[in-house]
Amino acid sequence: MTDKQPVLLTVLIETSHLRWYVAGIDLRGEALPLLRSDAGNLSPYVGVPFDDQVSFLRHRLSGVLQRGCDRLWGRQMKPCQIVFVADGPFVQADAELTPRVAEHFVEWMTRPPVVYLTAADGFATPNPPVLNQVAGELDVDLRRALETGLPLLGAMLNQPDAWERVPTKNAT
Amino acid sequence: MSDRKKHPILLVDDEPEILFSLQGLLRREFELYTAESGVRALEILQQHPIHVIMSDQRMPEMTGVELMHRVKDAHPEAIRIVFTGYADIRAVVDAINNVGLYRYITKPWDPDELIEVLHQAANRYEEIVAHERLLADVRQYVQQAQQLAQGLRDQPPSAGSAPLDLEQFTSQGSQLLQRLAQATSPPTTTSAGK
Repeated sequence: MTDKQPVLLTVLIETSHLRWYVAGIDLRGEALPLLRSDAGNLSPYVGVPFDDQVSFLRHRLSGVLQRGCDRLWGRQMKPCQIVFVADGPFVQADAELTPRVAEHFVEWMTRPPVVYLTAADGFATPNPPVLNQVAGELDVDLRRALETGLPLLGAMLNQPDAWERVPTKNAT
Repeated sequence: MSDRKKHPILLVDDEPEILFSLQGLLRREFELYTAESGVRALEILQQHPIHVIMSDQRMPEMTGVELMHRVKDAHPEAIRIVFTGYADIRAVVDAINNVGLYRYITKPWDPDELIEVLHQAANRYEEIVAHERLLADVRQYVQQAQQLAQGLRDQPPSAGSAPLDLEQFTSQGSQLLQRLAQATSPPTTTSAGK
C-alpha cells in the first residue's frame, strides 16, 4: 500500500541526438519534467559489438529509470507504469537492437510493468501522437494519459531549464 | 526517524549522479559515505566502521562482485549488497555462492523498499555483532570455568577458608544462558533476492 500519487515514469529517447529525458505523467495526463541528459549521452553504444550495445543501453537506461524513481519519490509520487518512448530505432545500429533492448526491460521488470513505444512523428506533435508498440503492453486508461501528456512534454523539450540536467561522465 | 540510530552505510557507484540521487534518498536515515570506485571504497572501509556496503555491479575497474569478494575477506562483518541494472546471471550466481551477499537489488528500485532493505541490513549487522559478542563472552566464561576447576583441583577449599566467588560465577552463567536462549537462530550471511 502506498499513499503516493501514481504516475507513468516516462523516458523519451531522442535517437538522433543520442540523449534522453525522463518525466512523470499523472493519470490525468499532466506532465512533470524531471531530468535530461546531454546530447551524446547514449553514444557509447555506437560502433561496439551488438551484445555490448545491448549491455550498455540496459545499464544506462536502467540508471535513468532509477534517477526518475528517486526524483518522483521526493515529490510523493510513485511509478505505476514505466514507459519508454523513442522517436525511432537506435541509429547506426542493427535493426534488432531496439526490440532487444525493449524486450529486456519488459522481461526484466514487472513491478511496475514496462512498455516500449516509438513515436514515428516525434514528441512535439499538436495531435495525439502515433505510438507503435515495440514490447510490452499499456492499459487503455494509461495510454490515454500518455497520449495527453506526451505532447506537453514534447513542447518542453526546447525549454532546457524545465529539466534538471544530468551531466555525462563517462562511457561505462 | 531522528531518534533512530543512524547506521554508517557506504554507497559505491562510478556514476556520481547516482550517488547524488542516493544521498538525497537516504541521508535522513543513514550516515552516508560514498565512493566512485572499488579502490576508494576499500580505503573508506579501512577508515570507518561501515555496517552496510551497497555497490553497483557494473563499474569500469572493479565490478561490484569483485569488490565484495575483497570486502568479505577484509571486513566480513559488513553487510554486502550489490545492485545492477541488467541481468548478468553469472555475476548473480557468483555473488550468491561466493560472496555471501545479503541482497542483489535491481535498478530501478522502489525507494521505500530500498530504505527498508537497508534498515533490515543494518539490523542484520547488529545481530551478527551481538552474536559475535555473545560467542566471545561464552568463550571467556568457559575459560574462567576451566581456571576455576583447575584452582579447585590444585587447592581444594578447606573449612573456614575464603569462599570462592561461585555465586557471581553462577549468575554470569545464568545471564549467558539467557542470552543464548534469546539468540534463537544463528545469523546467516547469504540471502539473495530483489
